[in-house]
Amino acid sequence: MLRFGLILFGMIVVAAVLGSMVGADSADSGEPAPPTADLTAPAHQHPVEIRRPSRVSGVSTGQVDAQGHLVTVACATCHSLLGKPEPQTLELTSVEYHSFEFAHGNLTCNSCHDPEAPLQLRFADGNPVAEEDLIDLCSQCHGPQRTDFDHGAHGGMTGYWDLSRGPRTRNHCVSCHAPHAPAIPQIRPTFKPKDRFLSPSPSPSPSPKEETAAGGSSH
Amino acid sequence: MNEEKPTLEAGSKTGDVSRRNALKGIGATLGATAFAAAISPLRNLAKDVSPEEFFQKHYQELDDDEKTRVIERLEAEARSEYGAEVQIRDHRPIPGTRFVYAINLSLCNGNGKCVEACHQENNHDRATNQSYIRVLEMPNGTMDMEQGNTTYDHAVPAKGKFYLPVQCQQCDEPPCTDVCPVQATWKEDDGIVVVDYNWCIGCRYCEAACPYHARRFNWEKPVVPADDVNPDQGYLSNRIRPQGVVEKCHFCLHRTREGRLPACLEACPTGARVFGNILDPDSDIRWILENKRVFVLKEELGTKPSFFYFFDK
Repeated sequence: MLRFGLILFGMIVVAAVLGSMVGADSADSGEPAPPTADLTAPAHQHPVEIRRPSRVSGVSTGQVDAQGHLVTVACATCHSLLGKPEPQTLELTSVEYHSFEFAHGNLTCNSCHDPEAPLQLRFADGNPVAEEDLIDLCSQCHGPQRTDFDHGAHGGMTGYWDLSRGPRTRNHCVSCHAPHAPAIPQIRPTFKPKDRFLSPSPSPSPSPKEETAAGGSSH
Repeated sequence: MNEEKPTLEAGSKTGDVSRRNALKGIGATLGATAFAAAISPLRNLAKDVSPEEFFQKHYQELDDDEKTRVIERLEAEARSEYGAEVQIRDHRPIPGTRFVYAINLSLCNGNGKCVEACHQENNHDRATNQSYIRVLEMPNGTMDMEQGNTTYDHAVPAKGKFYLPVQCQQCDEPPCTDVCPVQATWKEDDGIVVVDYNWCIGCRYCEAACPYHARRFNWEKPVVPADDVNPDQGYLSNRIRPQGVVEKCHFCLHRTREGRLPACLEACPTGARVFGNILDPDSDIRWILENKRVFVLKEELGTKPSFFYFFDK
């Protein structure tokens, strides 16, 4: 009986609260949205910053700076590109190019560099590229990669997946790809689980099953 | 014969009584010994486990005050056992999020930086290089992860191979949670399958049930030097696990439930990893699911992973 009374009382209270809310809504219908709406509205969006490329590549001088980084110089520091043969028309030797590695499809220096001003980059139509638009220069040929990049499917990043909570920093093309030799070189993995499958095995020839992933390091 | 009978009867009677008593005595002794042996783990337990820890309730039954006390106790344990000042928090799912991961296998080159980042972020045992991620070197032409191996030790990518990072797939139909006899592991609202390390009894049924070999068992107490301990910890994620419990990838929930990207994604030098909220129609992950030919591992098992893979070409 007491429980029934409590339930009835609860229903009356709920009805009263709902009624007052409806009343308040109708009374405030002409007013602007109440400030509580800000809680559900999309919060301030933090920026997505793209890492600025540092000195992207060049010819090694064989010297290191105070931080231990290799000192490189641009070809144009010493040479004019005007009237010079293009890399793929010559055998690439350490003599001609000071060990400078060039392996970027069928491009020539002047595909991207303005021969009149070699440090100025240019589009295929000859228009200069502003520094902040360097990705557009690569996108002339690498369209699918650009599409993926624009949708977060290409290129590393750090920071926040939720931009309403914090910013994100994304890699530039040249953060990972050297512009003159863009293929990512082979690297050796440095971190491996230390388990019985990777330590020197007492048995001379482990059975093929032991080498599979399933047995590989399930503990 | 007749004269001896009463004697025999009397003798057998006294023999019966004494045999019964003897059997009773032996039985009682054996019973007491067996009981003592049966409870001996409990007597040993009392040395290592405080009453608060022993009587701690299931995570989902803890109220806020109890959680605060549990976390204070765990932080004190980290201080006394590992010499590290850590902050353990109780991260809850963000309403309106459902986390999904995708990996671009055309980009992944098997360098294993994600494995290492997971190891450091999640306070894994240093002695074994434990990690929630395995990168499988796969022969071209198959998607059968059982044909991969983790023990490759040469420059990558190798010719004729591709690389398949595997971690917990955060299944929508997780076989691992179904088999847990004590409900110490369950799927949360944002899709992450979590473990209450203090409720786990270490039976390892879940480890056997997972078709992706994603769960790990702490055979020994994890060894982590004080300087290496990541102090940013979550109760359900990367706090240092006790010995004898199962653990698994939790999508770095101590980071992702604050809006940050998982540690393995930030560490990936190839940009192969994509993470996001599938409920957000403008998210990168949604674009990938809608525009790439994604696939899941062992689809035929019906586990419905929240983890997708794709190739560019």
